[in-house]
Amino acid sequence: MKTPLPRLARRSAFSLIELLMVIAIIATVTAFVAPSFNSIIVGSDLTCAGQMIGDQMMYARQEAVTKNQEVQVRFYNLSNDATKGWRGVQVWRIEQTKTGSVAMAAGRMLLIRENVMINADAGLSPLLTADPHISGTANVPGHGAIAYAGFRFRANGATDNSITEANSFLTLQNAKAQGPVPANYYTIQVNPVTGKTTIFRP
Amino acid sequence: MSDVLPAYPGTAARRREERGKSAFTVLEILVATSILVMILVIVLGMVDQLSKIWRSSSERIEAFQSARLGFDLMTRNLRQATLNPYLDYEIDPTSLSPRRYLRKSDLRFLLGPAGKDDLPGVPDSGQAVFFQAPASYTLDAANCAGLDSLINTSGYYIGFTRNTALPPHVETAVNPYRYRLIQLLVPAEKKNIYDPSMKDNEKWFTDYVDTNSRIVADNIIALILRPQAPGSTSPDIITGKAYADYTYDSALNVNTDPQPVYANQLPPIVQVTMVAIDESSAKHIDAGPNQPNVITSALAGKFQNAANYTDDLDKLEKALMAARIRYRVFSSAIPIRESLWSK
Repeated sequence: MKTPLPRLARRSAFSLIELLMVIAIIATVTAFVAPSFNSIIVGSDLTCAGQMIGDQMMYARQEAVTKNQEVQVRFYNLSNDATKGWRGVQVWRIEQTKTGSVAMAAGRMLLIRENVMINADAGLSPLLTADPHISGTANVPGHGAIAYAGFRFRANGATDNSITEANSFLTLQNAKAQGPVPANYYTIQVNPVTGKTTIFRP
Repeated sequence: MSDVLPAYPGTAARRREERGKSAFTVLEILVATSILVMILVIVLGMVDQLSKIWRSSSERIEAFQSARLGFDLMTRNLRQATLNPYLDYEIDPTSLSPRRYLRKSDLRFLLGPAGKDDLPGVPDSGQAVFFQAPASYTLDAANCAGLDSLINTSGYYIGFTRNTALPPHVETAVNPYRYRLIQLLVPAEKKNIYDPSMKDNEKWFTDYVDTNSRIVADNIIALILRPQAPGSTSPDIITGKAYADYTYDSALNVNTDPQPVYANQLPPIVQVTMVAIDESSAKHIDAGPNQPNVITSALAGKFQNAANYTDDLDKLEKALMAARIRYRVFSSAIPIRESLWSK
C-alpha cells in the first residue's frame, strides 16, 4: 500500500538550492570575520606572552630579594636569524660557592607562542642588550647552542647599574608584524630603582 | 519507506496531524527570542561588571604595590644614611693653636620642607631629604664596578611631573601629570660633597636634581619625614627654632660652644609617612598640568608643626575620604643605624 507523503511535510524540507545558499552566506560571513579572529588570537597570545615575561621578571626580582643574591633574566633566540625568534625566557640564580659564583637555573625555560616574539630592535627592546655581562651562547637541551641576552636584579631588588631609564624596556609583538613600530605591541618596562614592571600597550 | 508504513496504518495520519501542530507560531518565536536576549543581556552585564571589578581591584593592588616598593626602598636607603663623623681640633685662626675638640664631618644630612628655599619638590607635599648612604651606585663600570660600599648622595621628594622614562615608541598622549615619589641618586664618581663650598650652599644636591633624579613610584601625594629622639616624652628632638618643625640639618651650629647634640650628627629616628592614592582616583581628579584642587586644598598648611602630626594626618585622610579618593598611608619609624646620639 502506498501512502502519498503529506503536503506539509514535503514543503518543510529544505531544497538543495536553499541549503547551498545558506552555506554560501555562512562562508561569506566567515570569510569576513576570519581575519579579525586571527588578530584577536594574536592579541590574546601577545597578552599571554607579555604577562608570562612580566611574571618571570617579578619572580626574578623576588628571588633576588628573598635569597639575597644576584638573579638574571635571560632571553633566548630560538632561530638562526639574529633578530627573529627571541621567544625563550629563563631565570638564573647566581649562587656563591667555595669555588666562586655558579649560575643555577631557577626553573625551566619558558617559551612564548610562535606567532609572538620579542622585537630585538635596539629602539624597541634596548633591555636585551643593556647589560653586556649577560649575553652569549648557551647549550639548551632540544635547541642546541643558541644565543641569549638579558639583565640582572641585584639583591636589593634593583637592576644592575647598566640599566637606566632609557634602556629599561622590551617590546613583544606579532611575529609577522611589519614596520618599525608594530600596530599592536606589549612593552614591559622595569623600574631600574625598584625593579617594578610597568606595561605599555597601544 | 513506503514498505514500512503499512505495518502501522495510523502512523501517517497521526504524523500529519502532529506536524501541523508542531510548527512554532510567530508569538512563540518572539517570546523565545526575547527571553534569549534577556538572558544574554544579563550574562553580558555580569561579565562586564566582573571585568570592571577585576580591573579596578588589580589596578588598586598594582598602585599600592609600587608605592610599597618605593617605601621599602626609601626606608632601607634612609636607614643606611651615614655621616662618618670624627673628632678633630678646632684651630684658633690667630694663634693657630688648637682650642678644643669638635665633632666634624665631610658629609651632610638635610631634611626640610619640600619646595622651599633650595629644596626641590611640590610645596605642601611634606619634606624633602638629602643625605649620603652606601648605595654603591656608579656609572663608571671600568673603574668603580664591584666596590660594594661606595657612598652616594641620595634624596627623596615628591614631584608633580609626567613620566620621564616613557619608552619613545609609546604614544605621549597617554602620559599624564601625576604626583610621584622621586629619588635623587648621584653616581659615586660625580659626588661633590667633599668640596666645602658645595657642601655649605646646597649645591651637593641642587646641581644634580635635574640630571640624576628618577621616578620611584607614582601617585604618592605626600612624604612626611619627622626626626625624633628615642625615649623622650616629647618625641621631637630639638626644641630649638630651626628643628621643631620637620627640619634637620647636620651642618647647623657646628661651631657653637658647646657644640649642640645634633651638629654633625644624624637624627636617631626618622618617622617616615607616605600617602599614596590609586591610579583610578588620580585619573578621576586629573587636571592636566595643574595640580588637582582636591589634593592641594587637602594638603595646604599641613605638616608644618610636628605637634599637630596626628591631627594633620587625620584631617588629610578625612579630606581624601570626602573626595572619594582611595588612599593608603604607609608609616614607619626608621632608626638610623649610624647615628651616635648621646646627650
